[in-house]
Amino acid sequence: MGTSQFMSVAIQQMVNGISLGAVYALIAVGFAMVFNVLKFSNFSHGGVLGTGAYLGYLAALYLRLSFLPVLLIGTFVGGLVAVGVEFVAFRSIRKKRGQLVYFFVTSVTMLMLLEQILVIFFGASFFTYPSMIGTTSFSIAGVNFSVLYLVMMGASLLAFGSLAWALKHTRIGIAIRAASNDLTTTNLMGVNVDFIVMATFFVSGLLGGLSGVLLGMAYTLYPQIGQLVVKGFIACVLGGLGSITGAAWGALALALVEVTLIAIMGAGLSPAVIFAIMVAFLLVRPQGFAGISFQEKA
Amino acid sequence: MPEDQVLLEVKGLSKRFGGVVAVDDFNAKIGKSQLIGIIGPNGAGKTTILNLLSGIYACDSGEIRFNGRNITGLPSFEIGRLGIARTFQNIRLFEDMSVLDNIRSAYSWRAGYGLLKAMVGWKGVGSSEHRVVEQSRHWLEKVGLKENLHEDAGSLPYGLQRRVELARALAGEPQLLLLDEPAAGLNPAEVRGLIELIRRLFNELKLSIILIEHRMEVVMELCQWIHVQNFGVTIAQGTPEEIQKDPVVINAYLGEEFECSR
Amino acid sequence: MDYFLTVAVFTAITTLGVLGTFVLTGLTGLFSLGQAAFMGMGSYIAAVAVVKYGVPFPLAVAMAVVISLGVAYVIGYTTLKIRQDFFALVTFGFGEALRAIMDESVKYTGGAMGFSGVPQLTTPWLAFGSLAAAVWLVRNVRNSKFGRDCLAIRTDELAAQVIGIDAFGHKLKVFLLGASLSSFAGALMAFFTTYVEPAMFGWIQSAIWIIMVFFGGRDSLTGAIFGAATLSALPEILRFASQWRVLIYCLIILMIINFRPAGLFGRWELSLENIGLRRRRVGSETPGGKSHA
Repeated sequence: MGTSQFMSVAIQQMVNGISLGAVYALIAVGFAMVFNVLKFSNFSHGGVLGTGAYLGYLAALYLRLSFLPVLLIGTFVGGLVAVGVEFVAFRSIRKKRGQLVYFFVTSVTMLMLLEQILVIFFGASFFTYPSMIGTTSFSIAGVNFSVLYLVMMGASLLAFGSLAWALKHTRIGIAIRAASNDLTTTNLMGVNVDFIVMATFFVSGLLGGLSGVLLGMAYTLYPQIGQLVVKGFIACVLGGLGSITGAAWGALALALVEVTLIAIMGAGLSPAVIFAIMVAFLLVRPQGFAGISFQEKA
Repeated sequence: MPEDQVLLEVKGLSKRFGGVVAVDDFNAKIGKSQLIGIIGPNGAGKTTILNLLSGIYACDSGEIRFNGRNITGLPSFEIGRLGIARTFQNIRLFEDMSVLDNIRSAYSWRAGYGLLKAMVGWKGVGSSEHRVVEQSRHWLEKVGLKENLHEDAGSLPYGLQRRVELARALAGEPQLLLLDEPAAGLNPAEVRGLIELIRRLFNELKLSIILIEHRMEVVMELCQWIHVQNFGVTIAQGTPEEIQKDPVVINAYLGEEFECSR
Repeated sequence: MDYFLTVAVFTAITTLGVLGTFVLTGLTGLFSLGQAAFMGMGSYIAAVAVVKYGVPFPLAVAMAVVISLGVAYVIGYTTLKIRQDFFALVTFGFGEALRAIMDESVKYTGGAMGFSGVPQLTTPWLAFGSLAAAVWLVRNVRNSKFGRDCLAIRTDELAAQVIGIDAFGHKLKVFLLGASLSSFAGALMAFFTTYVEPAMFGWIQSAIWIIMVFFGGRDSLTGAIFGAATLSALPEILRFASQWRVLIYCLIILMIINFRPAGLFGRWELSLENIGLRRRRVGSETPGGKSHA
């Protein structure tokens, strides 16, 4: 194809990639927040994502609510589910100072549990969100800008902005940052750790629910949508586990790579290629872009 | 010190974590059968030195020679096999294993059989394990533990746990033993017992010991030579008598510890 | 074949596969979401070898195990040095990558619809005999210094290294052992169920195997066998719909972790000493097990 055609296709892919990256970043940051405070990989974040997506769908379909309320409902549901998961699954392990493996097993179990609940309630088939913004798009110089994708980006940026502000300027935000640094010391300083952990899960759940609704709207809705949490994990690895901004940038990078791979070789083999890239990356730079490594203290 | 009597030689050892310099240009020469102490206020980098020596941390610069061989940068399991053993400030026993099994773990690398032989139930496994059990009991006896060997190590009282950890380190038959605050958490009677134990082991086994301690009685009674660290830097070195009188040292400690033990 | 015998054979083969998870995740504490993928590899390679290339059954099984070992070595060598979180992620990715590859290779294997027409060559004797042999093998490993090292590394890898245990080397061996057990089980399974389907080997299946092991007791071989046998046989016999089955597994493991994290059997092992038929001998304690000498 001609150069200008190639260019517009490339730019199109980039636009798609960036908006996908914005949503992946939401997933990644929600994931990273729990990781920072509790130091383990919270796979159940995917379950939060899925639940938010489906409940937003219900709100759209049955309550016939418009775009913004649907978004808010999905987001809020995500927060609630995350808090519920913390309470039911992780709290007792934390109290008993259980080994890491128990956190893993529980978080994967919760992911499976939530996914299976969605399967039981909604069946295994695909759903489509009723069109809320419409599939209207506009063109600039031969590149399609879907309004929905732009909204995804906007919503994500807004969420990040609020999060960043809250972490810096609200008391609970500062408490969360302290807990991310050192949970034990924060506890010893009289801060109610249970509450902070709950708050962290709540915020992470808000991000998860939001990303679920956006993904559900932009693509299709299916019970396994929660498995996209793995993208969030990969993004955190790329960015450097422990760095929130790293997670966001890692998500962007991942989305761009993914979009490019799919354009080149179709969706089929891309999991395999991404796997290979990830392994290679872990060998070369396990501390991620942000360069954070964890040294165990003896 | 004549060259063949040098067990451990450390030159220019340095380590920083981010912006903090934990150890800055640590130098030491330790001979065979010597008991050295490292003291200093908290945060002076003493444990970091031990971690560097045992290969747990990688040093930023410097060289460590053990028996003439450059061991800088070797993984900790190789350093353990070469003859450097250690105990930890916060006891690191395998809590869910029996006391006896904790010691037996130190023999794994020399047990004389590998995975394949183990899988098929090769006869030699049994005799190897038997031998290991005997040797483990021997070390436990050396630190004064004869009973309750099948109890979970984590269920023992603190003082006994320390001795189990010591036995596990000795089971490696080391030439150099690194002890990180062995007296921490012990009452005065137990500290007395510890001093006697270390002295007895030192005389019987003829190994070298590097000892980090805050309890001055232990250091002053046992050590032949003392390094004083503060903020990662060696501020003084000498015999116990010299260190006790050194104004720089007294200043660093603000006199507290010394007053108590005198 | 009689229905109960079918369930028994299916359970036996699954239990053999789960033994891999017992050694890797139970004893050594390495959380891997890719064990079922090794079973998948074993199934596919053996099935393809026999059906498409006419390789004799025993040779096909051997090939399947050897190739899986090779893949396991590459994955293990590159990823066992990194953090536990990453290892979990990588094994997840491995499972998904394998599934993607299997789906794509339609012309060889039948793709996402599965590969069927595999002759039923796994007899009950073969299945039960293999399980017995595998149990014997794992028991020997567990009772040797290897079992102790697994526990040492799991409890405190740093301390284990300091006393001379090569943690990385050990983990690699454990990973290879697990992969060979699971891939062997996979080969047996393909020639029993007569079909192979990529969906059977995804990360959810691996997670279920982990649940089985933790249900029975991660430190107990008896427990792992019990957990695997119970959780795979029961639903077959009681004919649960598959979505409820997974839900129940999840609830079971949540309760176990909250109320009895050591699992049903804790550290108890079935042995002649423990059921009172033989007095305890020195050196025969299972690592980490309570003994009454």
